[in-house]
Amino acid sequence: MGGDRDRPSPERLEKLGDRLKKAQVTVDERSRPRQRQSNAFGFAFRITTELVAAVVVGVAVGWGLDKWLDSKPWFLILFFFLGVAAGVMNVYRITQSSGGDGSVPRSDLPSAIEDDDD
Amino acid sequence: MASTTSQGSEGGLALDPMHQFEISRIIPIKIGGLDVSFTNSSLWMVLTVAAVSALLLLGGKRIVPGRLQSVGEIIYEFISNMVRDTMGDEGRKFFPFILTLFCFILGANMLGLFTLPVVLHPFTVTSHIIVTFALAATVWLGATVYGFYRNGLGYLKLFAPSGTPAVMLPLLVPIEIISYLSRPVSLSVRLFANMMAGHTMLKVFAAFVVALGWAGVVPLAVMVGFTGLEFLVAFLQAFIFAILSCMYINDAMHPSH
Repeated sequence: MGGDRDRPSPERLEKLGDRLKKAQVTVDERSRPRQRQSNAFGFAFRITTELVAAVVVGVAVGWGLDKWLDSKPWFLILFFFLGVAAGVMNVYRITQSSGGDGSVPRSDLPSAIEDDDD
Repeated sequence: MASTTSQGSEGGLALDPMHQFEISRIIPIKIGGLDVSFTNSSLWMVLTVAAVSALLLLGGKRIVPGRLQSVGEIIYEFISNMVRDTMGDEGRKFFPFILTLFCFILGANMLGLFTLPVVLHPFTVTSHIIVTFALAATVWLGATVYGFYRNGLGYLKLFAPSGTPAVMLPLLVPIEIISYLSRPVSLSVRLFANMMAGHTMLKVFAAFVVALGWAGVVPLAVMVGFTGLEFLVAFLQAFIFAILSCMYINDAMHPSH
């Protein structure tokens, strides 16, 4: 009796493998959200700088073009708005690609973890 | 300490919170009109590299790790996982670069929080925008050059997302280019602003502690909390810098959105 139990049959091994896999997935899922929460602060600041930086770059490019082509202030105005648009697009892209935590792009996550948020 | 007390009690903020960011020459060197002096900033960069190298190299190679070795292994595994998560197996070849980048920024941020009174004035290398901009520009230029080297002119597809109607292109391409150009700016400003704001705030509160006498216990308690927060920020900013570098390099490898 005892010997029968000790010798693992292939089915039992397979079952054990399945259970291990399941356990691994739940462990991964459990450890993800914690990392996410700690990133919320950094994420907020990331969005701000992303927005501001694009506007600054837009204004700088417009100002430079105006100075070069002597066309004050038209390029400055045009590129200010382009910069704002780029900033908004940056922010939009971050929130779209990362599911809100700003760290890991969703498309690169394994499928088991991908659907655990929202 | 005595002199700062008398200064502080007289004029509120007689302590200059920006003094900590001043650069001073330790060994003046001039090469062809260029000032390449060894400054306190250079000194702290050297110290950072030395500290990080010591941590990673001298931690030991035991099977059951000690404390230092554990820290080194945690950093190594953390960055290793991050590189795999963001860039896949292909990004493996950038792992040494990202690890170096992360360790340098983390080391610089952390060292700036420790004080060695009298012996050495603490200096946070990453609280100067030119330092963070140099780091960000290196990443950005490297990723751009690598993108063109790998994809040829196909890298320009990054500026024209697939599925865009041709009518929209004249509007969208400049926006995408500005967005691309803003990467090194946002990357460097984020790190620099976090470090400088945090250190200035700590100094201002430290001045309150001195100026308020007995009531200074209150800002002192706040400072303890802020110092903890600063350690979190120091780590977080190094992490964000490293992970964004990964994502930019990943864009260079696969230039379609």
